[in-house]
Amino acid sequence: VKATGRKCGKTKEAVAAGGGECCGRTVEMTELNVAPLGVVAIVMIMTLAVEGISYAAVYREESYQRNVARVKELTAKVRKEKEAIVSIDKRKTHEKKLARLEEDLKVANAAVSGAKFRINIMVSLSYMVAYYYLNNFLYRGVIGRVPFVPMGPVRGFVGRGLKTDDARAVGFAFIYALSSMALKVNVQKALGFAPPRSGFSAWEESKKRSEQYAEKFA
Amino acid sequence: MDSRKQRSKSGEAETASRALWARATKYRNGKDLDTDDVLDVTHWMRQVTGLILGLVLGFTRTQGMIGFVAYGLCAVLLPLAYLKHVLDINDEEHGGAYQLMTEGLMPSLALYVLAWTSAYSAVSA
Repeated sequence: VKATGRKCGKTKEAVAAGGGECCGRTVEMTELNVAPLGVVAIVMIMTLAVEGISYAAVYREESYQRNVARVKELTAKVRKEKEAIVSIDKRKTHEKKLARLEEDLKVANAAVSGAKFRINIMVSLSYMVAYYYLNNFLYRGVIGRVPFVPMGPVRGFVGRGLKTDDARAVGFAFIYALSSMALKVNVQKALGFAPPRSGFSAWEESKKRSEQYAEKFA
Repeated sequence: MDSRKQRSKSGEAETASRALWARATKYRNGKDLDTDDVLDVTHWMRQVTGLILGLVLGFTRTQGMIGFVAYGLCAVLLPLAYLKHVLDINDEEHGGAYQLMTEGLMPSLALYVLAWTSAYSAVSA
């Protein structure tokens, strides 16, 4: 039976001194490993601090809010134009209008991302410094285990920074990366600071450019 | 005046968010939701499902790839099933099945693995 020894009212030291006897049963003393939760809490505090600074410096500016509203408006227009059914004789005009709207949307998106440029650089530097100190001074070595056997490139990611043969051991880097991925987007969305969803897709844009390039030289 | 404007804006946002969840929990109320609302509902359903599933599997010491199979069924397919069968939403009107399947997927997967690993590590020290 695994227990912390607290249920029978005896302290851990008393149970250990008594040969593991607790409430008439022999128990194996374990402790809750809360190191990963500590990392999650630190990342949450950092994320909230960053969002607070971004709000003070960027989000509450009227120019930023105007750009966000413009992106939403243009996204709705682009979506409407893409869904519109036009006759063959009006097709060229429709395509030109759509291309103009997409260009305006690209510019508006650039304005929204550009507003956070300086803040993003400061935030990245702060995260690097925090990572260095936490990894080297606070959370050294193995802090937990994954409940599955990581395979392929995931193995290197899971055991990053650890000198151990145990494939399931995790260190600070893995928990930190997961926490950043999980918390940043959700905190932004929960606070209402998430960037607007845009119909602009960099993948589709590069695909279009490749097709135009191929047509030119075909 | 500025702080009053900000307070009224944040008050409006909270009302809008409560209104969204009131609309998203009514049976066959898909027509009342626009694309952004549907994507928001999908995103949050995926996050909450991933978090709860990760904690449950972690504290029950579940190991192996079955965890990812459970994630695929619960966090990927469950929101789609809810949108289609409870809210009666046509995915073609809101960006297609691919858009709905991938909305919030990476943060949800990260949150799930984080919850599963943290809970498992906590009870398996």
